[in-house]
Amino acid sequence: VSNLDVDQLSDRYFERIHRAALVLTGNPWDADDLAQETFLTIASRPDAFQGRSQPYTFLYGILLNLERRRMRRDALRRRHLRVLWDHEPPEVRSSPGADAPLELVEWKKSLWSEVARLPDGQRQALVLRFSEQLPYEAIAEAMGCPLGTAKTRVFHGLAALRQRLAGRSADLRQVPEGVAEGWTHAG
Amino acid sequence: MRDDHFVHRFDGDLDDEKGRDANVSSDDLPPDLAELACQLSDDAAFLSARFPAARFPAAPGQAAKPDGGGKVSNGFALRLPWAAAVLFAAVGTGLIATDFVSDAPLPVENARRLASGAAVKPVVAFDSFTGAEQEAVLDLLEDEGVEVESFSI
Repeated sequence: VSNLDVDQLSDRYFERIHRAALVLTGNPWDADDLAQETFLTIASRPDAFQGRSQPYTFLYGILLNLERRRMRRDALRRRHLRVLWDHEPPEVRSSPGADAPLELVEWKKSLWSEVARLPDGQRQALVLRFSEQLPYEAIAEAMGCPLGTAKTRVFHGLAALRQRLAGRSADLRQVPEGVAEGWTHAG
Repeated sequence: MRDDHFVHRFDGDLDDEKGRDANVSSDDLPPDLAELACQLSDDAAFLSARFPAARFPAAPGQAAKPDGGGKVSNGFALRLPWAAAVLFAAVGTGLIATDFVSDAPLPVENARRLASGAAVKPVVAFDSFTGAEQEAVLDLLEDEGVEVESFSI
């Protein structure tokens, strides 16, 4: 992929990749980083894309790998910071703790904050299906799994989400009625 | 707040929507799961409209040019010297803590390795670092793959 092609790819797909990253991470700063890192990755490995898949599924695949890596790294960092935090005297502590993740209030109020607590496969499959609205074939391609697995992850992800929400009295639905009525899913 | 910022998702450039599944809501899902799916789509649409993507700065090839200073290259240019300074300070502090002025006893394992002539992992002391600097050092140690015997603050 030449620089010119990366330009074209970013022109065409940066917004989509950023949207998926935003839903996954819960804050626009990490989303910016992840989205840019996705395109930098493809620019630094020009021979990685063989043209066997659609460019956007390839980009989503890179994004998902980077996001999983970031999740692991952040978890490790939080453990380190927790150790440091525990050694600080209580009187100098601020709230929240240094290990608290930075997340948007809007994201925390959305269902995506519940999705974030699901296993990686289900979480990412739900993002590709219901945020990115990819067909199952593209989800399977981006996640590097069989078609049936992609469908199963989406279904079980939704079921797990329903289970998490069960018993909660508060209605998390954010969209005001008027807006919800104006929303029309294609199909 | 939400309705002020809500933008209908499919009114955008159709090219951006290439590859989207027009039947995303017609999966054979039970009604309650279908409703969750619909809500997820709504929430994602709201978030992306509320926090839109900034323009990707420049292709990396262009960003590397002196006159093509995009956000990426400028960011690296600004961060690298600072990061190197912090790493240098961390390693230097670690050396001081291990070999030169520290009165604290070396970890037993390090002492054994010293006695055997093997390489010793540094002991990093965060004595005068702020929280942000500590976090940056942890990042750098991890990125550089530096194995650290222990941290002290």
